[in-house]
Amino acid sequence: MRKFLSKVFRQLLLFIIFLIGGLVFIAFTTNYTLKFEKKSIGHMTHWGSSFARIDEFEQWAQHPPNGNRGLIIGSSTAYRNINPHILAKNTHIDWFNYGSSGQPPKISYFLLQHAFQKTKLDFVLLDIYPEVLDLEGLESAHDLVYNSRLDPLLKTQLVLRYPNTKLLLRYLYFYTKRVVPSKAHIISDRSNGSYLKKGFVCSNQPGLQIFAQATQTQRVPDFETLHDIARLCKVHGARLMLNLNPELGKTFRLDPIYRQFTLISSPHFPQPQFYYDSHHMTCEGANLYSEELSKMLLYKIRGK
Amino acid sequence: MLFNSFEFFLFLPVVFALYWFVLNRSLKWQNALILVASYFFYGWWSWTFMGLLMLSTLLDYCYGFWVAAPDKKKAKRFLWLSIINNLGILGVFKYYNFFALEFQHGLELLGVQTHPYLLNVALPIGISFYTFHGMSYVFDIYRGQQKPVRQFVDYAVFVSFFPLLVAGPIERANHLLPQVQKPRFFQYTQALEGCRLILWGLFKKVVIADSIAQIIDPIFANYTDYNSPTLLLAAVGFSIQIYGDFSGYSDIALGTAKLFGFELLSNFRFPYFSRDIAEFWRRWHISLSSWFKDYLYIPLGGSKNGKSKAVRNTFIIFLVSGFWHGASWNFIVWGFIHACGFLPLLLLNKNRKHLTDVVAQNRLLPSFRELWQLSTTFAFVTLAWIFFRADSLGQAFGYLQNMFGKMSQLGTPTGKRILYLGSLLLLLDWYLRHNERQLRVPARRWLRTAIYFAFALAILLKLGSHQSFIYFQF
Repeated sequence: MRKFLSKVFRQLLLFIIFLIGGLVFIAFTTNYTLKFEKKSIGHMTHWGSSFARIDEFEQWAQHPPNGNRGLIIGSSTAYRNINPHILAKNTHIDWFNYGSSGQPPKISYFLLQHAFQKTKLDFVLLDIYPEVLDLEGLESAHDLVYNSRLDPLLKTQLVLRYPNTKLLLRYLYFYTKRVVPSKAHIISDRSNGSYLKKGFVCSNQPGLQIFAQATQTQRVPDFETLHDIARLCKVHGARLMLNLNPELGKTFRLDPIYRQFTLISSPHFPQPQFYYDSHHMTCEGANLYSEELSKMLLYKIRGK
Repeated sequence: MLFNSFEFFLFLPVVFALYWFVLNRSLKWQNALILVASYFFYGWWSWTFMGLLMLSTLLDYCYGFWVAAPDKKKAKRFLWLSIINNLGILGVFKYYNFFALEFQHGLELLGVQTHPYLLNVALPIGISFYTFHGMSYVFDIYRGQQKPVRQFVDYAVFVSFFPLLVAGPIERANHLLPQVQKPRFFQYTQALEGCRLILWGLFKKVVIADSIAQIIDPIFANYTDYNSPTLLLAAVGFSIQIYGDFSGYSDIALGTAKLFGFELLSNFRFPYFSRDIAEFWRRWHISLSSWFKDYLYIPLGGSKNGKSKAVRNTFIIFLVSGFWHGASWNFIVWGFIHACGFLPLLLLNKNRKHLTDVVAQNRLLPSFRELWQLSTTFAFVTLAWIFFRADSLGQAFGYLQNMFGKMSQLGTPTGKRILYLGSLLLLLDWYLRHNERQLRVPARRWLRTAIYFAFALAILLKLGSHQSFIYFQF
């Protein structure tokens, strides 16, 4: 037994050393092995630029504003469709977009806790794209662990929450890259859009010509985390507003529970040329939508 | 709990440590631990259906005593009750909806409209496997080949031993029960072989089968959108996927059992190196084939009562085997196709060739004749798999129609990665083909370690989005 256990432990230890060695090697040679890095550890540029966004959030949070400030949170529909600059111009509230790829409400809750520790928020705009309610959050965890300088403790919490080997490798790789003087820490992918600060990513993909799919009605159910988020906002004195993000070919039927929340819904945004897929908007679409959203926000906030 | 899940990699060392370090002095406690661990393993998926597993175990345990009665008439009555009971459980959970809907369709043809009550419950995982365990136990006692087990825990371990609980191998009482009842001692070589089998099984499942599944699933779902070479490639891909998936599962099961001092029955013996369909069925899902042979084919008379009876019995076991896999016509047709492939061999008395040898026994490469035989058998099996993979008979025929009907519009196939992955698996299998239980490893230590690391790394990189094993649904 002792021989067996010592062999197993020895092999495990060697394997861990081999893994770390491999990560160091890839990190050192990023410029030459980018393709390999993308295929093995995975470089998720196609999921957006969380790195720049979350990095900037820290700075934004450290500087107290003159007036009110609000946080937009949600999945890629948040950071691609809602332009905080337009919202700020129209509502006179300092907005920051803290969305991340494939972010389901439980990750929003997790990030909100982190955000409330950093700054005082007056408004929280939770962007609901109904399909993310079914996601387990792994995509978002990958994005936040690999593409952000999120607090190490928070990163560790995320990794522990999702027992996933690839996520663990990405986690290790992120820190390896910080230790190893690697030239290209994050390689930006310009085909994915431009980062326009305050968390907003403006897509440069062309709009759709037509959207032929028949319109379906989707039920938006109640979910437990929504109530947790509401409680969290209440405790911190922030007003929670839910934004039901528009989607081509979909109308929504809401669970009666939503009547108790401030809900913003934009059903009149059906032009396909403003979207590059069924739910992500082009830059022009996002700007127009943000104008419309500002009006609705103002109406909800000030009643005008 | 899945073998390729994170939970299992926590569960296994904990049970292993308790088994060998805490409870190693008492066989009773070791068996009790295995039973608790097995129920926990099963309950991780569904605590509700664990009750069904316990009930089925308890009933077969009792039937074991009743069919052992000296009064043969009484014993036979209990044997039938046991069969009705086991098939009843299977019938309700697995086949009820199929029969109800077929009955409804039949009546509709006669112009009678009915609205049968349909069950809206999930199929309990492993139901086909554990009911077959119980049935074989009762059959063996009735035949006098096995004595009823006194200790309930021993019997329950035989039925529920976690490595084989949800997808086999389907064990026999006279093979596994003696191992449950006698003290087990840790053996270094056995444990090492177990670890190698687990690694090899995970590689086949996670790296080969799951990667292929990602490529072929959309092709099977939208087969009308693809050209003929792509459909052909996807069909080959499914052959590799199902083999990697199920034999991978079996290897992990065998390896895990070895860690606890058990030797399970082999389930696969490199089936794609078969020279005819008869040999394929001696190498594919061996524990099920031998179960049907011993408890259905031979009681029906086997091949002893003339050719016509042998043909009838062959068709019966293949059709029943197809139906065992799922309550759907496509599985029955899959069984029928294999029966048709088996028939010429049976009629020409060639079904018992290649009983023990492996292809290219003492050679590196097969002869041209062998290569032809391997290729034709593989092609036949691959075509039959289309019926197995399809969601319905209509989809299977549609797939075949598109695959052969678009031959004039040849194009570049998509999903060429199937070829690399498939070739890798078949090449490795070719190297290992002499013994499926003791993997052949290079003698040089550094090379061996390099191979282990390469496999482990590939598994780690692919383990993220685990898919459940195909045979769990049966």
